[in-house]
Amino acid sequence: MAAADVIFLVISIIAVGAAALAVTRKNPIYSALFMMVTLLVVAAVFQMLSSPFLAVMQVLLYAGAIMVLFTFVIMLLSLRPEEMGETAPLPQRIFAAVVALGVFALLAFPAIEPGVPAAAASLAPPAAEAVRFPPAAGTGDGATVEFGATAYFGHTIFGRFVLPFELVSILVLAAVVAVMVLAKRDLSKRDVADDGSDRDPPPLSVSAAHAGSIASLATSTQPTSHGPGA
Amino acid sequence: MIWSLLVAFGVFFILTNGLPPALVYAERKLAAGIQNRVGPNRVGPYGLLQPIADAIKLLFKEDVTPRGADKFLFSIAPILSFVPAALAFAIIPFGNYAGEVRLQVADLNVGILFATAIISLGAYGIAFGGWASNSKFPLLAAVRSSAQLISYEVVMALALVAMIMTYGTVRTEVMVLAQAVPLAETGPFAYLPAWGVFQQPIAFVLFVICCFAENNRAPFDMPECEAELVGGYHTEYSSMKFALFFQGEYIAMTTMSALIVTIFLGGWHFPGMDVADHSVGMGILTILVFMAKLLGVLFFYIWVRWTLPRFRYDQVMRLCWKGCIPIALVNIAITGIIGVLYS
Repeated sequence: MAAADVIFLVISIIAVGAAALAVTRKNPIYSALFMMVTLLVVAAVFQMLSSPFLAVMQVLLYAGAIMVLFTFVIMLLSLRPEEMGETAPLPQRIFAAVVALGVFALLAFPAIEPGVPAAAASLAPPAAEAVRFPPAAGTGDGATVEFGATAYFGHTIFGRFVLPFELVSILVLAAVVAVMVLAKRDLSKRDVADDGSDRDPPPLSVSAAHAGSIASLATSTQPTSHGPGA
Repeated sequence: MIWSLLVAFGVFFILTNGLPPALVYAERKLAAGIQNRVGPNRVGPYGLLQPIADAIKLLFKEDVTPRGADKFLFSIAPILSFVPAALAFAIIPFGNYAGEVRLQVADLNVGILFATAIISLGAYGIAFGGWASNSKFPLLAAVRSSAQLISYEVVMALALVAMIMTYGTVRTEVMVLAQAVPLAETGPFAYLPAWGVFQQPIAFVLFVICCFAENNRAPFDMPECEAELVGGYHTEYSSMKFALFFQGEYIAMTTMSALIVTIFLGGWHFPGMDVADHSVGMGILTILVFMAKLLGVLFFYIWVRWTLPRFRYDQVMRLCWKGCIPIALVNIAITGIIGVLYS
């Protein structure tokens, strides 16, 4: 077994173990902690697949920003045990298990079915594209445009996939605006004054888009005490 | 190879573990000077041994864990705040070459993005520390700090985008080399180096503001403002756990200052130095230049803390979302337009 295989095995065990801990913890803040561990280890997997840029973005956005927001919301809600609802009934849990296994089978299928990787490979950009990129301006990475590097990502997203990229950003913008409209109680009232009477922090743009899902996650996690001493 | 590792880790260790006690002493002396006091002057000549006395005192203090605290999170929180700050320093080029030895711990092709990603993990230390204490003031501090760090990370990333566009790279050592040329071919600007601060003054101001906010330093020391929150997120901490938080804060300050020096102040280069000279003497000289710039920025940090009053929390948030972010976005647009026009 090569060294890379050993490392992959170790980080896979950590990733799956932390993910299992994340869904079984009764305390939502521990779920968040183990979810963060999972995300960090997945970043290591990206690094092993020679995608350092993706790995760093995984740490920056998921582990560094989104999970901090999750912990922020969990701390802010500070739910008492009776506010968290009851444990889900058995049929619901069985249904959830079936759905999870189905998703797992769907994801595992390409790994065991030999035809799928070949089909996926045909969708990948031709290798010659890597050398077609113009060198970056200034003293940049022009000479070192390789798969997974920052420059490769930039050229691919803003060149080949610029339209899907812009569509996704418009979708995210629409979600942010929608959450703003839903969260604001009275749109006609202007509640921002310069004398500091508006003590609410302005909504966080990214957090706004995730606020709904975060809140539902925080409440749907296994109910129990919220604080360490409660 | 082994020498390069030894030198790199030696300087890395000195900067991340040796500098904080010296900084604490400098901070107390400078604060005393600014406030017309004497400062520490009892332990050793000019009070120079005060940091060592403090460290020994902290080591021998009783390590108290509050009864209602979450023991596991309470213990790992100081580590979570200490490690990211030191780790991010790895990508800083603190010198050019000393012979064969590259004076940088890690040369990553994601460069500066690695530092921002790792620094963003520092929020967990404060968040978990405040929450695990099971006490009202630390919890308030943790909630405040999470929101503040997330907000200012956005500005920091946007300011960095403008710098990455300017240099055309994310690699820190290439950024330093890009600043080692004159600002202009001819005219009065030919005497200035092409440092980031001259090329992107707006991004520089935004980045420095973010550094203060990310380090929870005055005027942004919301998570620990003693007038409102007793001691903030580390109210319940004592002994070395408290000291780790304290040291983490100073290492984060050093790392941020090193980032400012590398991105905006020319890194280890000073006008007149030959970047192709890889001799040992030149290598030591580049380290000294880097250290001088670093200490200058650290002095600025301390100077600002003891000069400006603290923001109110809503002012912190308004400055970020209604002040800094629009300016940063406009700055990126202007940088892009100039880049297209002059390329």
